[in-house]
Amino acid sequence: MNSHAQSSGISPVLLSARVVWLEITRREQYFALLILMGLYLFFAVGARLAGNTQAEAVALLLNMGLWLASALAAVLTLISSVRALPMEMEMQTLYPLLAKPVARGEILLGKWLASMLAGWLCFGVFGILTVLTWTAQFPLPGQSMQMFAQSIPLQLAALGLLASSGLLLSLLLPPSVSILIGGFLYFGGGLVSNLLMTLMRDSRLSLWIDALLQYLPQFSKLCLLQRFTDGAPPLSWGEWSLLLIYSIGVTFAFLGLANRLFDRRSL
Amino acid sequence: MSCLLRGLFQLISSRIGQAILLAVFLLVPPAIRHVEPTDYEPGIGYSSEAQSTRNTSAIARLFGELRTSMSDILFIKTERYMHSGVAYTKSLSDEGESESSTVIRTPEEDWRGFIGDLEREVKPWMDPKNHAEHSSSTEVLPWFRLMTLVNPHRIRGYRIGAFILMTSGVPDAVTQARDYISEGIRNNPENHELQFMMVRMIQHQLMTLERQEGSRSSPSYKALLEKALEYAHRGADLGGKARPPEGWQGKGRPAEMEDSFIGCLHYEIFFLRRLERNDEALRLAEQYLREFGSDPVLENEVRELRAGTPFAPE
Repeated sequence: MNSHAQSSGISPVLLSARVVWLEITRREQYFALLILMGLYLFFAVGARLAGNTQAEAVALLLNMGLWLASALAAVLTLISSVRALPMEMEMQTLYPLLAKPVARGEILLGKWLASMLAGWLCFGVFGILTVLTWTAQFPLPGQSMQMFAQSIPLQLAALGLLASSGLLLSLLLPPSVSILIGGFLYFGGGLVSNLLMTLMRDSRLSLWIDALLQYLPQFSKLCLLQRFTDGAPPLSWGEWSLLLIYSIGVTFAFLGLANRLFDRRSL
Repeated sequence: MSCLLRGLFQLISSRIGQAILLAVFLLVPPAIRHVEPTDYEPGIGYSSEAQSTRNTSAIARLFGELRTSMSDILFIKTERYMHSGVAYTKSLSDEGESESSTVIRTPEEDWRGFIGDLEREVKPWMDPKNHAEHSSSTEVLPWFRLMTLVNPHRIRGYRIGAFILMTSGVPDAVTQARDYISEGIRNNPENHELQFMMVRMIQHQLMTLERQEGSRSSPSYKALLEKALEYAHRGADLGGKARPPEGWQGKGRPAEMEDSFIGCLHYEIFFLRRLERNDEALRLAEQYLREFGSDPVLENEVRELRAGTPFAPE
């Protein structure tokens, strides 16, 4: 692979990423996502044509569209990242790869990059379609474009973190369990940590639980599109930078840990 | 591109890179512990006008209860419990609007024939021409509990839940309601509405104590009064900082915020007068009138204080 990479001038990381891309197109997962997003767009365009453009209803539908775009992107990212390595091990396509002078870290990095980019592309396309549907009203009075500009990089960073979490989980647990845990952390993590912290507030263990919860990926703090559609003020740049540093730092920490596990794994 | 990828590879695979990543992982999460970007006052979508528009918008109705968040859904559930399980479509519409219809259609409007009859039989339904039947409010309490567990910044959940708890008639109701509001204040220390709710609870306790003891001069009464004054003062202070110059405008949530703030101002003056700290009460009432504009209750208090009229127990 490395010799091919060298002869073609493509990095082994990108070649590893290409396998994930080919797998996504082969499985045609994107069709399911397109159908789901298409359903939303069908109703949204219908609402526009019917003249249903009161500000509050548009805010709700814009919120639903952006949420759906980010949620579908998260599903694609999670499934791609969790399946990437186990699938290659199961189909034994990893062995000829590893026989070449390619580091395991490069393969891992390629899988992460492809899963994340698939999510970014999905979010980008669906997000743009949603915004285009409501382009005449976008942004609504009270909605801050600065908040919108802040929420997009954080959402992309959340997808990167989800891809690295998916890869790490797939090296520890079976794929279906990893998808369940990853999905739970992404969609319900904030809710459950709120619930746990309120229930355990008066317990002696509360400090420990609080500390432990901080080390779980905090996706709810990174997915802020609802904050934009609700017309809330933008974050301070200090808070925004801190959240971005957090997401990038934890993403690479998870990748580092995944690389260590992958390196030590006997195949 | 390949330089960047090589750099990233070095970062995740070299010992030094992994040590740096470990340090980042240990240090950064605690740093964002107090960053709460999901805790905000929405500018769109929480007024009763907004909720009404959502409810009456045909396309929004297609999405049913998938409106905003889990906490919102729980709030809608409480309404349904209040109406003996019957779901009304305009349950969140403007006050004073008398026309309402059930989610399950009436026989006259239902084109589904037998299927419609079956649904009306097996699901909670009553003819919307009859007045909605309100059930015991205590049934709703677990929903409020769950709502504030799921979202500890759900101010309305704490406020309405505490009020229902206080008036539920369960033993120790006021103490339980005070505990509930205290939890709300701990989770939302900057919110003035919960301070006002606490003032109302203590006021309720003060009235009970007065009935039991027959006077307002006992040490326990005065201690409770001091406590109430503390909350009213904090509510006025917090509300004054958050309030826009023209006040919170609009029906629903903004009106609730404004009423709570004005309530804190009034109660602070009343409590100071009950404690016979009249000079302080006069100075503060004049200050509030200067800062927050005219208010008939405060103006009356200023008149009475200047004239030396004794405080009339309400």
